[in-house]
Amino acid sequence: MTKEQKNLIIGTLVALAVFGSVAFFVVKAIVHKVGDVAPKVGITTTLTYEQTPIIIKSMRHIGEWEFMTITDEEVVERTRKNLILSDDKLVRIYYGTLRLGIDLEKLKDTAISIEGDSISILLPPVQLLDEAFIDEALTKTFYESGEWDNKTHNEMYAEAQSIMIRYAMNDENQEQTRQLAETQMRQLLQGLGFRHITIRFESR
Amino acid sequence: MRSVIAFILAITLITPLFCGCQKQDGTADDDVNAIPLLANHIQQCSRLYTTEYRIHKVVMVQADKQLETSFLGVGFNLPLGERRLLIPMEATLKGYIDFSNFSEDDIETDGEKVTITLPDPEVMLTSSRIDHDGTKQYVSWYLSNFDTSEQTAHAAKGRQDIINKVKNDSRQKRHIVESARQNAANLLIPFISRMGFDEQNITITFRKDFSFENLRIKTD
Repeated sequence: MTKEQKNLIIGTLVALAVFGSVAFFVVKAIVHKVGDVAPKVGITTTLTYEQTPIIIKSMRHIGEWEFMTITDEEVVERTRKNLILSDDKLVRIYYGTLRLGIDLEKLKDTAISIEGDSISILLPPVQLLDEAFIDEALTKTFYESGEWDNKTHNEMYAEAQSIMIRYAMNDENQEQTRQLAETQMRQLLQGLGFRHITIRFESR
Repeated sequence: MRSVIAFILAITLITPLFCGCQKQDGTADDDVNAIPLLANHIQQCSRLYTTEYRIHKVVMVQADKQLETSFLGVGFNLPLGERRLLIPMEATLKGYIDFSNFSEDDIETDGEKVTITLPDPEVMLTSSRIDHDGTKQYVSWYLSNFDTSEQTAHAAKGRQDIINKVKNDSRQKRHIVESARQNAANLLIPFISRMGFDEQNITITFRKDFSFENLRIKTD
């Protein structure tokens, strides 16, 4: 191949490249301009919430005295292996508020003994006041690929619940709750006129 | 020379790709690796929960798809398919008395008689639970099902609906306040009577200017 032939080929390729780029921008500009006047076609979603009543399913009297609130967020994830396609994955963040305290309805008849201005009281053990502490409607889906069934959602909820209980019900938190309960109870008893106060807790 | 040609071809092919694409956020894999910092915190408090309400609600969502177009300046919609979702859910509301600022000044006693002035009752949404087994969706076969993220977003709307209805329903609020008061008295009177006071000499009151309209609903 002669030098002139080589230069001709290079010149042609450069011209094609420049022409290609210019043509692209021209076509893009035309499409953009025409798009403003041409009829628009689009798919829309009409979202309607039916107004449904709220029903009070039950009402009960309780006597839960809460001394410590633990707000917790936990990530729970599931992965499903696929043979050909990439794995399915679901990552969710659960929000829970755990309440530690004492259940006054568990106070025994023999729990209080009085002698003059002295009182001794045996309080029920510090416990998690309610097992239903996750606000599931606030759960965030951080990542989702593939379809997931109800069973998986229930399992993930149970796992989040279990992680949160392990986090909240440690010895340190239980001890601190006992101290707070004692301070509060002492204040109430002092207000009632008792001067010598002994407060103990039942063991779990 | 070949490298010059390759460079020109590469520029020609790559330029439209950059110009034609919208800037996208991080890929899904990036997102999975960037789970936000989770918050955990512990707070001291003193709340006496006296009443628990379990509230049931079914969230009904209709998210039908339509083709929106126009011809000769007249716009019209063509139905494309149906997407319906039913989510039964349950929320727990608890009425309570907040003793955080309660002090000896709120207890008056002359040895025989005792009067306790309790803080105002409040209400808190303590949990919500989606009935996954009871969740139903009716979707045209050629449209996609409601995914987990969509379902939870609709359940959050249902949760907010429960809060709004309790907030705006005077009868409901009056009932919650009265039962919170009554149950607090029912709980505290026997407790105090076991400390040597005659039940008839124990008075549990709330501040007089509190109206059920002032009831606060906490949703933390």
